[in-house]
Amino acid sequence: MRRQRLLLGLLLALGCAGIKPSAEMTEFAQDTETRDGKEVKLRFPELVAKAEAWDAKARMAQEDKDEELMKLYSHIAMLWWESAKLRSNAVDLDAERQQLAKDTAQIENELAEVQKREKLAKATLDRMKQIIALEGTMADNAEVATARGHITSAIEAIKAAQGVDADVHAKVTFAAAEAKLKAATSALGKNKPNDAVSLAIEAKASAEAAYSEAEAKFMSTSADQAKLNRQKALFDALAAVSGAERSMVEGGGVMITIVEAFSSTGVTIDPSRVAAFDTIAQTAKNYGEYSLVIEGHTDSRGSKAKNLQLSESRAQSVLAYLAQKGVSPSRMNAMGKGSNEPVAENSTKEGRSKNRRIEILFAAGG
Amino acid sequence: MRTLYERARPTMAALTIVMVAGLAGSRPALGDEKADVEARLQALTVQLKKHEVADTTHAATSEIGKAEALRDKARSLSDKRRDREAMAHTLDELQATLALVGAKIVHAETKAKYDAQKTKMKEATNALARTKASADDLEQQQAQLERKLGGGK
Repeated sequence: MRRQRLLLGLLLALGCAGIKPSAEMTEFAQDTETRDGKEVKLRFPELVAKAEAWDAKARMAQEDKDEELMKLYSHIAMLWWESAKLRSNAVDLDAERQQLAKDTAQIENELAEVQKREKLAKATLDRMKQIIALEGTMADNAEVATARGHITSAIEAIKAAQGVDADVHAKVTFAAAEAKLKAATSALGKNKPNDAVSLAIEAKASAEAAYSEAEAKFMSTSADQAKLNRQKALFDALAAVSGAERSMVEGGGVMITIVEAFSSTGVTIDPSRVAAFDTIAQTAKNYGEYSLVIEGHTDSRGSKAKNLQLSESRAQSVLAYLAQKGVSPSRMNAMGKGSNEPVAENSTKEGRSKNRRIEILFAAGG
Repeated sequence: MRTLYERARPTMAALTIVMVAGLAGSRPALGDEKADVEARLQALTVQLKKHEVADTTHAATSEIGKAEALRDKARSLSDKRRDREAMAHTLDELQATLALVGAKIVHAETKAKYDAQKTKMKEATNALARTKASADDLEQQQAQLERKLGGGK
């Protein structure tokens, strides 16, 4: 009798005990709670909704103690979840690729500058080597020494002309200078120092003319290049702003966009975003020649008038914060755009999140 | 006097009509359900074919194999009425597997572009370092010759 009661108790205990969740259910629950997991939810809500629906079914099967169905449903949930994660990862990779492309473009620009330096040094060296090669074949007298001095002086003038890209901006005059220099060197090699002197003087005059011809164009190109370099440097400096998107804009400016910088209805910067605005303030101080245009944007939920007011208050809040951090208010302008300029669909959670943003334009020449 | 059966006959007939009508109204006819399932299988098969063509880098070979097995399983189940539940489960799993295949293909394509950009950047960086060294060297040689010629500045 006692043995029967024990057996009955054991059977009841087994019957009442639930089955353990599958490994995939546990993994799914943990994964979705991570920071990355939340980002995945925001980016691919439809795929995640499917995963969640299957996970819910798996939990119901767990309650029903149907282990086979629980495993199948949690497996399907995991397949949808993995799909969402992979797609989200692809979004990150693509953003990194775009950044790499910008960095590569900058390296290629630097390369072009260094190649120019290399070309100039090589050309000057070749010209000098022609004279050095004549060592020993020339008579060692005052006339030869004078001719050498004139040739060296012509080489310097040609080098200076090439320094302002005369070989590009004053092609014909520069080519004439080079031809005369070659003739001067050749005359010296034939022990005709007087001819060499007059040819070297002509070479120098042509080189100086080429310099004058090219200088204006070179200065204008250099100014553009300097502006571009400054813009790139600013763009790079703003890379330190975490969780922000940057883009170079026409006219030498850089735009930085920060999403979800405030709580849903607040006008105070979210504590998690304060560091980003600190970096912006520091960068703004380092790049004092830029003016700052701060724009607040909202998603389309709520009334237009309220959204406009909210975006304006948020833009002003950012301006006040940057001013507090030492950026001169005279350099800054703040305005609200409400929901009038969306950058993404307002019909999805992800789209709305992208639309709730602060845009700061570092405008050149402000 | 009518027998009990004769008296009950009109009631039974009416009951039968009500039951048939009720069944017909509460769920789709078996033929419709089968057609829906087959249409779904057909759509997923087409999707699988597209993924097979798109997976040029073989990023999702394993998942495509699993999807093919699920498709074959679904095909083998499609005519058996008693396997309808198993069929639905198989199609659900196939659909989710195909979503994963699609995601893997997109991810692999993005990764390939990322890797190509990384290689390009590495090449540019190497070229910059090489050219810089060469330019420095040439400028040094130039300075030496300038000293030798006595005209250097």
